[in-house]
Amino acid sequence: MSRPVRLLGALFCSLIIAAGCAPAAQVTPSTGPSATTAAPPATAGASAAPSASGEITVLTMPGQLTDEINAAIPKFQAIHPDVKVTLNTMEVDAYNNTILQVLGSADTPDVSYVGLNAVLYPRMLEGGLLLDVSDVWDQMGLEDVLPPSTVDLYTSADGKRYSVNTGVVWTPVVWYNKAAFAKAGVTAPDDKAVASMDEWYRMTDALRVAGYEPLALGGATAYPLGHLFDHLLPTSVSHATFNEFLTNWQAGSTSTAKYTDPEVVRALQTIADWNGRKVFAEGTAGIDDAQARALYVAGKAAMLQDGSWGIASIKTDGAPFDTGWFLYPAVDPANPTKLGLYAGDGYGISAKSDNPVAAKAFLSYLISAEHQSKTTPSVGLIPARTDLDPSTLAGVDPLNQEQLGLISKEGGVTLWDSTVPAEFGTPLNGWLQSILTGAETPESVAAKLQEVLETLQKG
Amino acid sequence: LTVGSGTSGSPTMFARLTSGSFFGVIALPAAILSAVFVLIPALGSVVLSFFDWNGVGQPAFVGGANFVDLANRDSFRNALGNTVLFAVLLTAGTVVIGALLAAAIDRRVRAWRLFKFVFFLPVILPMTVTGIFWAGALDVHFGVINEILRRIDPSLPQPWLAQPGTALVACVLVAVWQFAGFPMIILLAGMQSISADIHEQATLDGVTALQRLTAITLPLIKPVLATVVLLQLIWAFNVFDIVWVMTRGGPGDSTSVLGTTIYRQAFGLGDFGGASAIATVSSLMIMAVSLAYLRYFRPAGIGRLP
Repeated sequence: MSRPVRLLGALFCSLIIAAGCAPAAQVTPSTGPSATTAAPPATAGASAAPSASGEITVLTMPGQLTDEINAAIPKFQAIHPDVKVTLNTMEVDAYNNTILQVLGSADTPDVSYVGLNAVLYPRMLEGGLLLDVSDVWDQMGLEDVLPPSTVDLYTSADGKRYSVNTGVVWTPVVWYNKAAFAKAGVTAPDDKAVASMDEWYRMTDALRVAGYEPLALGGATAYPLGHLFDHLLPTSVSHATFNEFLTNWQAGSTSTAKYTDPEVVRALQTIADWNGRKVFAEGTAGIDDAQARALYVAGKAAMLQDGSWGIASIKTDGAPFDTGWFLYPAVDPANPTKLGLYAGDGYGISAKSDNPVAAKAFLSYLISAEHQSKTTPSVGLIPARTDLDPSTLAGVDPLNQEQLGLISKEGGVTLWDSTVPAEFGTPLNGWLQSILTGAETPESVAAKLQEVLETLQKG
Repeated sequence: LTVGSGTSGSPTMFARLTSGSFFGVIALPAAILSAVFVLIPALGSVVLSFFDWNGVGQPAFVGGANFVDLANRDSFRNALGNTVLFAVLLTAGTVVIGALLAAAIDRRVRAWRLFKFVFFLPVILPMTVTGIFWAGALDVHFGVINEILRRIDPSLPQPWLAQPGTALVACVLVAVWQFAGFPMIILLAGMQSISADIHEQATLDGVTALQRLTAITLPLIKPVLATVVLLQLIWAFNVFDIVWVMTRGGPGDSTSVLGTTIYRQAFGLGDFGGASAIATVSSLMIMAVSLAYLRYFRPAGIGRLP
C-alpha cells in the first residue's frame, strides 16, 4: 500500500459511522445503526454507469491499490466489454514529484489516484487538472452512502466534487509480537490503548531487558514520526484546541492557540522522553520504514508503529509469530487515544482525458456497492461506503476488523499533518528527527511550528 | 604534423579541416542539444527564481523576494555549509586516493591490472545502487559493517546514518569509495605519458617512492591534476543522489546539501520559485569557484588546447 500519500485516516464505518474527518472536528462515535442500514442495489455502480467504449488508462500506486485495480478491471470489462483498461503504477516518490505534470500533459492517464492531502490536491484543483465528477456523485448517490465527513472533505470550495473516495485507513497502530511479549512477561492491552505512560514505560523496559528493541519506527521515512505526533498532539491538547490547530493556519485567523503552548511542548517532550527511555529502536532517526518493518518481522523489535495497512505487509513479509495490536497511551488521560482516520484515498479523472465517458464509468464502478463489497475487502482494503452488509468485511483482516469495531465504538480523530499545509508537515519529520538526535529541543521545535503558523496567518 | 606535412596536397585539406567553419559545423548539433536541454532550462530556472510558483497556474513575479528569503533561512545556510564540506572532503579524498592508486598501478605493482579494474568498477555503478548498498551495509541492526565491528567489540557498532556527527562523514566516505577510481584513471593516463627515461634516471639517483611521486610525477601531471580536481569539485558541489538515497538529508538536516534542499523546496513545499533561487545561487557559486580556479591554474595548461 502506498502509505505516504494514502496516509491515513478517515471514516469507514461499514455498519458504522460517521462524523469527522472534516478539518474542523474530531470524529465522534456512531450515533446508531440507522445511519448504516440503507441498502442500495448491489450493482448500483455498474448499472448507473453511462454507456462507454474505447480505451482508458488508470494510474495508481503499487501494493494493495494496484491489487484492487487489477482485480476490478476484468469485472468492469465484463460490464463494459467495449472499454479496454490499461493500468499504470507509479511509486510514491515519483507520484509526488510528477503527478501535477503528468495530469497536465497530453499523455495523461484518464483515471488517476488522487490523495486528498494538503500538499498536492489543492494544487490539482488550482491548476484545473481534474474533471468535475459531481455527476458521478449524483448518479451513484454518494452523499447517502459515504460518511458526512467524507462528503465534506470531497466537496470543494466551489461546491463541486473532483474525486471519489474509495477506501479508508487509520494510524498509528502499534503492532506487537505476541511471542516477544510473552517472553518478556508483558501483558498487552489488546485492542485498546495502553492505560498510562507509566504502564507504557514498564512495558518497554521489560521488553528491552528481554533482549528486544521495544519499538520499531521508520524515522528516516517522511511520515512515521509525523504520525506519532498525530497521536501525541490530540491527546495532549484539549479537543477544542486541537480543532483550532486544524484551521488556525488560515490567513487572518483569530485563534489564540499557539504551538508554543505548554500542552504542545509536552507532546513534543514525550518524543524526547521516549527517546531518553530507549523506547525506540537504536538508530530510529536513520532507519526507514522498510528497515523498521524488517526489524519487527525478524523478531528483533517487539513492536512496530504503522497504520491499518501494516498487518498486510507483516504477513506478506512472513513474520514467524502472531501479531496483535493496541494503541499508544494518551499524553493526558483526559484526552483518550483515538485512531487517526484518513479518507483521502480517492480517484479522479484528468481534465485532459480523451475518454471521460469511459473514465466516469470506471470511477462509478470503483465506488459501486458491488466493487466496494467484494473486491475492495478482498485485497485487504477498507471500503469507503458505509451502507455495505457487515458480512462484506469478511475479506478484511480480522485485526483491521477489530480496529473498525473500536472506531465504531469510540470514534476517531483527524490526522493533523494531513490537514495542515505542507509548510508544517514537510519540515516536521526533520525537526522530530532532530529531537531524537538532540540537535533540537521540544521547545525549539514548538517555536519553529509557531513561526510557520504566524507566517501563514499573515498570508 | 604528419598529416599537415603530407605530399599530396594535404596541407590545404588540413587547413580546411582545422578552419573555424568546419569545427563550427561539427559542433553545431552538440551546441543545439546543449542549448535546448541545458542552457534554456537553466535560464528558465533563473527566471523562475524571481517568481512565486507552486507548479501549476500562473507564476507571480516577486522580484528578489526568493533570494532575500534564502539569505534569512537557516536551512539554506546549513545546506550550503554541508555542501562545501562535502565538496572539499570528497575532492580531497578521491584525488589523494586516486593519485596514490594511479602511482601504484603506474609502477606496475603486483596484480596491477586487477587493482585497476577493481578500483574503477564502482565508478560505473549507478549512485542509487551504491547508496542503497552502503545504507544497508551501515545499518545498525543488520549491516555488515556493524556486524564486523560487533564481533571485534560489542560496543563498537554505531547507527552511522542516524547520528549527525557521523552521517555526513559516512556519505562522504561512500562517495569517495565510489569515485576514487575516476581520478585514478585520469591521473594514470597522465603518469603514463611521462617518459620512462625520467623514471630510470630517478631510479639511478636513488629516489624513494614518495620522492618520485611528489617531486617528479605530480609536478609533471599538474595540468591533468588540476582538471581532475575541478571536475570532482563541480560534481561534489552538485551532489544529490547518494545523499538522498542514504539519508534524505537527515537526521534532522545534518546531511542536507543544496541538492536535497532544492528537491524539498520544490517537491515537498511546492515552492518552485524558491527552489530555483537556491539552484541559481548554487550555480553562480560553483561558476565563480570554477572561473577562479581556471584562472589560477591556466598557466599550468588547464583550459587551453594542447
